[in-house]
Formats: sequence, structure tokens, C-alpha cells
Amino acid sequence: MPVESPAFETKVQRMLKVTERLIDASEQRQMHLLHDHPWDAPVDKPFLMKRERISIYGTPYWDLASEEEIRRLSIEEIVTWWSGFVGLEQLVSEYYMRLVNLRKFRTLPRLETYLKHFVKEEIVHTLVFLKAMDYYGSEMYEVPEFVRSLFDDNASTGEYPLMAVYLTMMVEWLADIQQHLDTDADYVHVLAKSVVHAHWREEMRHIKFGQNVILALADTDQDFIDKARQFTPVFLRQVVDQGVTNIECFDRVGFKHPAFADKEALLEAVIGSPHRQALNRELVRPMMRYFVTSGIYVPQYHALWAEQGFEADIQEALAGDDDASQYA
Amino acid sequence: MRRNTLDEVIASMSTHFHPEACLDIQAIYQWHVTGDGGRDFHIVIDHGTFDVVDGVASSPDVTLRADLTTYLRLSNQELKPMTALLTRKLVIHGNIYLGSKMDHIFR
Repeated sequence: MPVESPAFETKVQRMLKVTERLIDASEQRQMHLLHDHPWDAPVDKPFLMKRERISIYGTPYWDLASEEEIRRLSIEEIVTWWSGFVGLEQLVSEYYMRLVNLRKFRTLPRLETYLKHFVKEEIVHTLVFLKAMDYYGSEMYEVPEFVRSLFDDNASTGEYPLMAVYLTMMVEWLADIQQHLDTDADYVHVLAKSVVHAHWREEMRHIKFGQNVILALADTDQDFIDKARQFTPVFLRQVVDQGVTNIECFDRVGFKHPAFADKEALLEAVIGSPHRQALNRELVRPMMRYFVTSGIYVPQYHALWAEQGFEADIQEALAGDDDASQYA
Repeated sequence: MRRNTLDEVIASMSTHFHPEACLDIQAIYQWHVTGDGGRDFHIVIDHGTFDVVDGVASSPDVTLRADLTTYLRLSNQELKPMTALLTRKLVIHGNIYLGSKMDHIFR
């Protein structure tokens, strides 16, 4: 679409309208480190994840673990996600403030205003997650390699830093759907639910920002479009599978049964289980609709989506009747 | 037949090479194979042809790092790339789309 066309201008105006709403929402309500969560709630053998979403559920390993080991795994697998958030959100805070300082969105100043809210919220999120890890007696995990080099490996090249916005949106979206589903059970400890739900509310704004920036500005950068079309199914596969667990979680729990020592067999059982495949489908469903609607998915690369295990998901999204206005 | 050294893997690459899988690819894959018997080398893919060069390329598109045991297991299809990534036996940087093509180019 030509960037001077009325259709392009309509998309930009829609993005700016969404951005105004997001700025208003951020000004009215932001998470507070000290006041928003029940930090004084008692902690007695807490469960932090819905049982069905713990990595080994639906595999033979479930029956080889004791109830206490499963409970401790529920803590470690949530904490490994929180560690990922801390790593990503610290990286994003630095990166986005740099974009603001370099005036990368100088032609769209309200986007710069929103980015300042965005960064402030990310800083609070990292403090909340670190405090929550401490509250549950756990510690930060090493930040995944792909998160540490995310922006270096995938530098933006066009007028606007679209690749950085897109990557941030994708990872946060997937991570937040995952966390939201993970803690959706009555028996999940009250503080974990509070932290995850408050984070979800703010991240939904960040995700909407990313969705709309890409929908509006992608036409300014054909290189971004080409790369995103090639890169997205491969990246999505990696993030989905890497998000299921972290081998270090098993070491921290210290499972007694010797079968847990073979990490390769354990991970292959977890990643390949029919139960996990069903959970993954639930996880990526909303994203697939966006990829189709936004033109990130194109038939030219259908084989790539299929190779990465998303054939059924993309077919389901293609059968939908979505349009871009749902993201406004 | 199982390939048991890095040199055996490199020597057999032409029999595993599928030019049709890289007709539209021009890229450099840098391998850092660590440990005894390992070394740095890179594979230059150029629209359906390949060349293996010892040492470090100045600006590779994809960088892969693994110890020799992992590299040999990957090359002999005894270990899935995703399992190697998840167990941190394999580390990949750079263009992951091109990285994903490696399995199709050499199989």
C-alpha cells in the first residue's frame, strides 16, 4: 500500500486514536510496587500454577513425581517465566528509552509519549516480579539466550524501529496469555494471581500498542515485512517450546526418581505430548488470527508455518472472518 | 554410516547437500565447535552451492555454537535441534529463519 494513500492515512489515524486511549488508561491507572498486591498474605506450601499446565502433566513423568515435587515445580516454572519477563522488560526499557532519546518516532510524537508510560510500567513490573520471587523463596533464573540477543540479532532497518516493536509485542503477548492461563485456578496462591493479573492488564495495553503500530506502519518498511513473514513462524515455534519449562527448574526441585536425570528424554516427552500440543493451540490461537489479518502470514510462506507445526492453527485462522478493526 | 569426527562430517557434506533447498539463499553459517576435535569453520551458501571454509567469518548471518559431541549427534540426526536448544547444548544467534533452513540444506 503506498504510504501517501488515503488507506495508509486511515490506518495511521486509527493507530493514533488507539495510542491516545492507551495514554489515558496509563495516566489513570498504573501498577504500584508496594500497594497493589497482598504482600502480607501468608505463604504455606503454595501452588503457583494450574496443575494441568505444569510441564510434566500429561506425560509419564507426572506419575513419577511426588505431590511435593509437583508443587515445587509449579513455583519454579512460574519463576522462570518471571525471570524471562525481568530480562525482557529490562532490555525493552533500555531500548525504548533509547528510541525516545534518539527521537526515532519524531514524526509521531504521541507514540513517544506512550513509550515513556510503557517504560515506566515495565520498570515497575520488573521490581514486582523480583519482589515476588523473593516472597516465594526463589531466585531469578538466567535470562534465556534468545531474549538477551533479541534486538541485536534482529535489528530494525527502516524509518521506524518496527522489528523491535514487533518482537516485543510477540513475546509479551505469548508470555501473557501463558501466564494468564497458568494461574487460572482457585487454588493458585493469591499473590501470584494478583501479580499476574495486574501485569496482564498493563501488558494488554503494551500489546495493543504493538499490534497497532505494526498494522499502521508496516507499509513504510518492505524489508521489515519480508523479514517478519520469514521469521515469525520460526521464532514463534522457539518461544512456544522454550516457554514450556526450563531444565534448571528440574534441577532446583531435585526430583528423586532417576528418570528425571535424562533431560533430553524428559523435554522431548514434555514438548511432544498431545496434552502440550492442545495447550499450545489454545496459546497461539489469538496470535494466529493477528498474523493472518495483519498480512504477516502470506500463502508464499505457508510451508514454513507447516514445517514449524502450525498448519492446523493457521488453517483455523484462515477460516475466520477477522478484520483489522478488532485490534483498535 | 555414523560420522565420528568433524572432518568426516565435512567430507560427507556434499552427499547430504540439497541444492534445491537453497536456490534463493545467500548466507554464511558460522560454526563454533568446541572441545577436543572441534574448531571454527563456516559454510558459505550461495544460491544452490556451498563451500566450507576454516576459521571465523567477518559477518556471518547465523552463528551456531556446540561442543563436538553435540555437533556430531546433530549431524548424525541422533539429537533434535530443538532438544539441543532447550537443553542449551546448542546456541544460535542471528537470522533464525536462515538457521531453520540448515536442516533442509544438509539432510
